[in-house]
Amino acid sequence: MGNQFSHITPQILELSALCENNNTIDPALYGKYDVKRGLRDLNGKGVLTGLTEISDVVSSKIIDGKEYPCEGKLYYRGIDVEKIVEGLIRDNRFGFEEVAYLLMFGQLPNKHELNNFNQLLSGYRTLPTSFVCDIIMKAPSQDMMNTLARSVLTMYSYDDNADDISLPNVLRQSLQLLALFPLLSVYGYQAYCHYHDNKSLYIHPPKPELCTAENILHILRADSQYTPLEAKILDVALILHAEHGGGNNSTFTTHVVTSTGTDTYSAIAAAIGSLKGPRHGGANIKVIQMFEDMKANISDWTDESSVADYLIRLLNKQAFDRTGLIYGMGHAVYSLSDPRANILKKFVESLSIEKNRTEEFQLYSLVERLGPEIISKRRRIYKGVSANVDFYSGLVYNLLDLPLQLYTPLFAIARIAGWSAHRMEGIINDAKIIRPAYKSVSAYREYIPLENR
Amino acid sequence: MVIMFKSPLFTQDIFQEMVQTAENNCYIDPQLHERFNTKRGLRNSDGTGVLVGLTAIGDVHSYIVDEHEKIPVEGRLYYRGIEINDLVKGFQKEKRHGFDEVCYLLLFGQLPNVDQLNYFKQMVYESRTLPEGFIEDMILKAPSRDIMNQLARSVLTCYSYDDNADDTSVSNVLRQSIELIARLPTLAAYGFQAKEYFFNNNSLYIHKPRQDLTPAENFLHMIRPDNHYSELEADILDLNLILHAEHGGGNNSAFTTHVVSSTDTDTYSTIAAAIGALKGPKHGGANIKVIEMMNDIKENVKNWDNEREIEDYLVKILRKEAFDHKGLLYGIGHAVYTLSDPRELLLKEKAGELSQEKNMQEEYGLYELVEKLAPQVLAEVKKITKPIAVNVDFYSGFVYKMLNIPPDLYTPIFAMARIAGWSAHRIEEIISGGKVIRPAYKNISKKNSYIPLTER
Repeated sequence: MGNQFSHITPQILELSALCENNNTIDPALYGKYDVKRGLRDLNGKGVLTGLTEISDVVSSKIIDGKEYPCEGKLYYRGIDVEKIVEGLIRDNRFGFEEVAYLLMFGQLPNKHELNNFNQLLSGYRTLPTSFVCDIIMKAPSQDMMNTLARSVLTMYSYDDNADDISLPNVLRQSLQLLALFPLLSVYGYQAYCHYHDNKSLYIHPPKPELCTAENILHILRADSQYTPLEAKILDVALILHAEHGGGNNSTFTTHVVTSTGTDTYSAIAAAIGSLKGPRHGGANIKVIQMFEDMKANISDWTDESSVADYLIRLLNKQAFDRTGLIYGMGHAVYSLSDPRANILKKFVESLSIEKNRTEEFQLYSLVERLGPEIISKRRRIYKGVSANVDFYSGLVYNLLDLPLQLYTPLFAIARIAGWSAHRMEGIINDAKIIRPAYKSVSAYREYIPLENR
Repeated sequence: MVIMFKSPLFTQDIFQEMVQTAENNCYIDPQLHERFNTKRGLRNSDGTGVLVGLTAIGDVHSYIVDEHEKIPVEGRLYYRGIEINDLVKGFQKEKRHGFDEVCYLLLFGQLPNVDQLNYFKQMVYESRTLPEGFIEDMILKAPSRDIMNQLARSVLTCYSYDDNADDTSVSNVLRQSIELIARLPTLAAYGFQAKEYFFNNNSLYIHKPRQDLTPAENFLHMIRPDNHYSELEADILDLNLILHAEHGGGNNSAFTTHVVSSTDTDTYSTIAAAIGALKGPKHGGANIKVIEMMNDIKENVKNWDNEREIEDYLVKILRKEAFDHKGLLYGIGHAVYTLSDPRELLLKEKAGELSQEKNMQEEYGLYELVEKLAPQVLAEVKKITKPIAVNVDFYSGFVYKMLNIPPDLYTPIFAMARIAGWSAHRIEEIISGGKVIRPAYKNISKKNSYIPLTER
């Protein structure tokens, strides 16, 4: 690999100082011109950019004309996610595919429709291995999100009708991506392990009769073994990550790029690039790392005061990565509670029992209780703080022995459903290209001939 | 190459039903947008963009405000506060190419002196060479039918060849940006060569980039089978790169750069996203449509000097009775510019010169006439009262045609120039940004109950 290309030479450092000097904008100007920074207004509320019917993220209710925070609720096409998960548990069946159907088509499928849908997805999963080899084995990257984005762009070349943005064609492409994301991610990971870490390479073909969650465990594990509870909880995790409104950065990116009329692969690769960013996806990795540090620094995991002390040190930038953050706490929208965290938590306890790691679960529960108290005492916060879905999803993946490099790809494997639904909604409803305004604040200057500088 | 996606399941009625369901359930009543005051397209009701950021990089000027009234003026474009007319006249007077200097100006906020410029050029030119094995593995073994797709894919591949890919400190991002500015032309040229060979059965020419040529010269050197180009050809390509290098933070690909950068993701993810946005026909590619439209006009208008005949045909196009039946005149009008697009005026001058060298004066004459007549025709037929400027896309396609550059490369050349602006905006976002960009979408669906599977 080209090492000389990655060095930061002294000359680059000099130039970057110049860059920094000339690229800093006086923060006061943002207020002066009423700029919607981060596309949020002064209270942190998002600028209303669009309408959607795909999902609803609810954190407050209006009583007598006034807004009050409430327990968080998440609705997929108007249906409470809690009810969806309850329904699936009652029927003892998997539901990610059904949820993807719901998000994309706007209604729950009946048995017949669901069967057809599953058949369609399976058809795409049982691809000839040459396809997989061609797309993934070519110089696997050290980062699975980069691999995923690159694979998506490569799929463009295999599509006879790549640029057609009519609804049927975009739907076809979206369903193919939905079916293939698990394969692209897991095989990409395995190829990387083989080439770089000298591990054995095994490629298990997916099984048509298994659902997405089962297939992921089947192709990831060397022995293809997994328990029913493991598959169930992974399925629930996928359901909970499938969609979260049009304003989260990767979905908004999908909207922005889609509005140019570009192809599906370009739009989805852009969304993957956005999700790769640590401020968007990858939060659950931070949670795991934070807990590793916590476990190493606290001798008695049940002692409330030691745990509380550690959390305070985190806030004071004296522990872990010293950013002053307690990962897994708080959310841009939810305040009193994140419904996804609550749903996931119910399953985590059972899984921790199956895996004999109940003490760890107890530690998480303790931090979940103490964290918000400590944060609200020490930080000026405008709304409530609670554990978010990343708080428990990291633990779930950890209990399932999933490698860290696959955490964010798993998020993408679920969220492709939401991205696709939003892309289609955008294509149907929005004719205009998204084009906001940036105000220039630079002073006018003269051009100076070269020899006079 | 095996073409994979032809499952018979997609042609069945069941799939058609699914499509219909999706269409029915994805439609949103447009009136709701007014009711909720949604900033659709991130524009206000008067069409101006919602103000989402401040920048010091580029300024697009199309009107002045006089006693609260907006008065359209001749368009002006400023790079870091310097008017583009002054910049271009400056280079032309000093008889040198200016794209490198413009890159420096956009990135660093000031004009370089002789030493600084030479140093920067050296950095860029040395970075042109791709890492070993890159061409064979990335381009020749996986050619794409579309050069923009190949470009985005190549950029993502550069991630693997970077030891420090994820570091978003300014110095690292600057290094990566300079490398991409240097390499995009190489990647575009090779992507094009691979496509010509694998898909069009033409000969494959891989010319190594030269470290002694300016970006415009080097690009012509790489795409011409015999490496030859004239001075005027290189001058006009350099001018074209300068004119496309930057255009404010609100155009879709620059805004995409801001949105994606705000997640703190790596440079390659960000630039690949911007390329994907520019690929969209509503953003990049407008000059291809201009060429197609002009070809159609050339075929259907007998006398290229006859204003009346041209006018009549333009009306036909507007009435959807000719050309692509969409009722649009490409290259005419602009989202921001009113009386004129300064880039179009600068390019037109040189286009005239080149048409002499290439013996294509008649065609240039036709372009001039269409340029003169189209705004009037458009205003009359569509009853538009505000001024209509002919934009830079109107002549840029013609310039490429005279340079013998195929349409496949039009949007990649746009990307090769705009990487300068994208990089500057990314760095500005990193330094002056702060929060993840996260607007709101309001849900308007009613609540539904969950129905068990057996009851549906």
